[in-house]
Amino acid sequence: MKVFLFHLMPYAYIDTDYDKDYDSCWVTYPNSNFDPEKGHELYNRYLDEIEYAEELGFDGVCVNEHHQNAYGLMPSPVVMAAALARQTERVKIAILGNAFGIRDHPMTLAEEHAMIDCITGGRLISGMVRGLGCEYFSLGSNPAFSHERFHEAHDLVIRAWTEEGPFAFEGKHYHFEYVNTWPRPFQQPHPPIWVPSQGSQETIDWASHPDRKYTYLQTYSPFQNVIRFHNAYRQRAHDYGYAATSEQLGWAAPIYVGETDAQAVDEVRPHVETFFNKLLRYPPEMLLPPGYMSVSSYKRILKTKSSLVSTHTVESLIERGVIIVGSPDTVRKRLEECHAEVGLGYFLGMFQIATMPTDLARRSMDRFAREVMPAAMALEGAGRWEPGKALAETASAG
Amino acid sequence: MKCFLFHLMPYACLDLDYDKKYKASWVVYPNSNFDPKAGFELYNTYLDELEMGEELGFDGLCVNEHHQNAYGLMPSPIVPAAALARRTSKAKIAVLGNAFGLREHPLTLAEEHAMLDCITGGRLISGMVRGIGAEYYSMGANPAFSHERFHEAHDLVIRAWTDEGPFAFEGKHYHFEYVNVWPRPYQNPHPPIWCPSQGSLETIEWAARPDHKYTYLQTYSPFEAVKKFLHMYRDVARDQYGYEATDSQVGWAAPIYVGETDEKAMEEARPHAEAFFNKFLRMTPEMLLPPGYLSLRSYKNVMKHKGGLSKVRSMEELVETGIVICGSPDTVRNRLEYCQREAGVGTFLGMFQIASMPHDMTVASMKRFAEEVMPAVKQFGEQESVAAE
Repeated sequence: MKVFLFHLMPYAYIDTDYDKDYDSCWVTYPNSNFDPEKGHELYNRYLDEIEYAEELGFDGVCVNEHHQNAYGLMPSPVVMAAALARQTERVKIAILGNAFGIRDHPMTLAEEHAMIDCITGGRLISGMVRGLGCEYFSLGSNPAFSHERFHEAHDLVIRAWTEEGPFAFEGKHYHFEYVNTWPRPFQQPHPPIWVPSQGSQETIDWASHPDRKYTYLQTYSPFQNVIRFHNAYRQRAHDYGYAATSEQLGWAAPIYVGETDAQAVDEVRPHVETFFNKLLRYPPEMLLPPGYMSVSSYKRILKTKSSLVSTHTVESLIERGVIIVGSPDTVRKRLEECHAEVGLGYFLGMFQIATMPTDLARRSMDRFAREVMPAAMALEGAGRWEPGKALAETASAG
Repeated sequence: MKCFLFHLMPYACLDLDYDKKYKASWVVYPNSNFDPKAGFELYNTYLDELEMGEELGFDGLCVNEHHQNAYGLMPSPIVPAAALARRTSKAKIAVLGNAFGLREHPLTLAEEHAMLDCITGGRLISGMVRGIGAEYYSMGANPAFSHERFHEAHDLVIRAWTDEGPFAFEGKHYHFEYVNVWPRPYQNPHPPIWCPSQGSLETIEWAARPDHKYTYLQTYSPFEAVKKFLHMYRDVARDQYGYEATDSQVGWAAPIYVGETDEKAMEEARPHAEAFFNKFLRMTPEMLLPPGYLSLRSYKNVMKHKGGLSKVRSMEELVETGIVICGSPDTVRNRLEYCQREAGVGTFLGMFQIASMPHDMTVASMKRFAEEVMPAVKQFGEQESVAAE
């Protein structure tokens, strides 16, 4: 299993009582609450943490895109990936992801990813996402076209990366007479595509298609959902007539490694509870605006993620396997169990959580790197899935 | 006078005979001619050169936006600006510029500039351009709306940087119900705005406005044109707006080469400067100036001053007209002093790496400039302003 460090770059100075006045720290939370001096300090601190991950031996580092919020200060992961490009030498740099289809000019992202891939000599992983519902408010995009545009932007970008230009592209949403991207990506035919998702059969059907075989990442979910969706991917691949490899499956989760289980829980509690109860707080219409999901996915998401709007405790989050917290022994065993179950190829740990200060985050990274990572990196195998099994589970779940 | 290092990041291994088959190295020149391995080398060499600019004492480093071409491998200046953000600590980083109005979502650039400004602790200079005509083919944008969209995108971005969000923006071209940019820029009220231009009265009138006072940059022009447009800025400020423009409001960007002697300099720079103007900049008129891109008045003006750019240029002509600065350290120093005196240039942006010029030659020229020219150049203009006080 490969191990990546995931960072959200939260506004750690958020007033955690903001929710007395605002229903979310997304979209409507005034940017007058952002202090640029603190932003300067946080950005550099977070970039230091990410660069430190390379020193500690992580296989990759991850950045991502969210607009107009205090949850993550990366409206453009391209900026962060570029800032890391020459400050690191070895790690993969994963943009997880860019919302290509939310823009009217996805070609600009195709160009930027190609540039970063060239600068890094092929260390880029290109994540493609639709963007959360909130993003559609921030960018003034129609969520009802979200799926169509995601697919069309993907097709355009892949063609721009692989076909000789100039060519014309006439889609439903995108029209370009001259597609002729300079530079082209370093990796042939293009950087690996990863698809982060909160759990969607449509996404799995699409990502696992034999033409694509894109890596599917389950993000911030109870471990039961990781099992369900990873197994659904393996099943779908089986139905397509091939066996999915572990490299096609990943999981992103907040993680904290303390000296002992008790200390770990105590130390992480305020930060992880702030993360789930404050930073991830939004009204349903912001998370899932009309038309953003198919009816069947909408039903499923409400069933599996509805608990995200209730108040969480660190205990309930650990018990459901949304987060991994404990001593090095506990965390190592937990990752071994998880791997034995689903045989995932990539674990993406989010070490810095919400308001967590840098010394706490770094000590957790240190313990992980020293006492957990070697064993985690040695994990191999395809998990417990067998053909037909996931189908039954998914059917009963649906 | 301040000294900035300007880089275009050209595809230095361009086959110079490409023009036997293709009419431009822009838009229609197939990207199969781009070798990613060469691209890897070039990007890192160029970023090394920019980082060296800070070490050598340049006041700022400049990157810019051009799409789908071998002339400059920066469809996004955001990427090199971000790559430089933590590799440098003093130099200004000037994005010269981004074409905000070319996009349907100028707010994504507003966000990116704010991020860069925060990361660098306020070292960003935000250049705003319409993008040259060729860009409108690459981005599928209508050149007839170029001016309108440039202005509207500017207004949106400035409001996004300075007004408290969320607010709604309803323009002719842009409609956003929630403008609430996180992060906000580090500099208050926002990064300095610079306007690179090939010479346009409209741009000067807009940049010089008392509520703007944006820095106007004349790019790649005969020195007579540089002089004319920089004076025009001062005249507009004085006659139309009633204030005296400062030197910091006008700048000039030019290719420059410093050799050991005048003769050696000419000989060394010749193949690269000639390739730059005759091959890399080669463009058909409809590509450079698509219908609707310029007002009739500006179109005439540009044709007068830049019409020559489409014909073949010799090194001698380029130096004689003052488009290129080339010579021994003494010659270059004297030339810059003359130019400063004639045009009151506040910021000089030297493009040291030119077209196919190899790394060692570029570095040698940068070093000669930094050691033997820059110390004097930084004093030019200072004494007069001291004397005037």
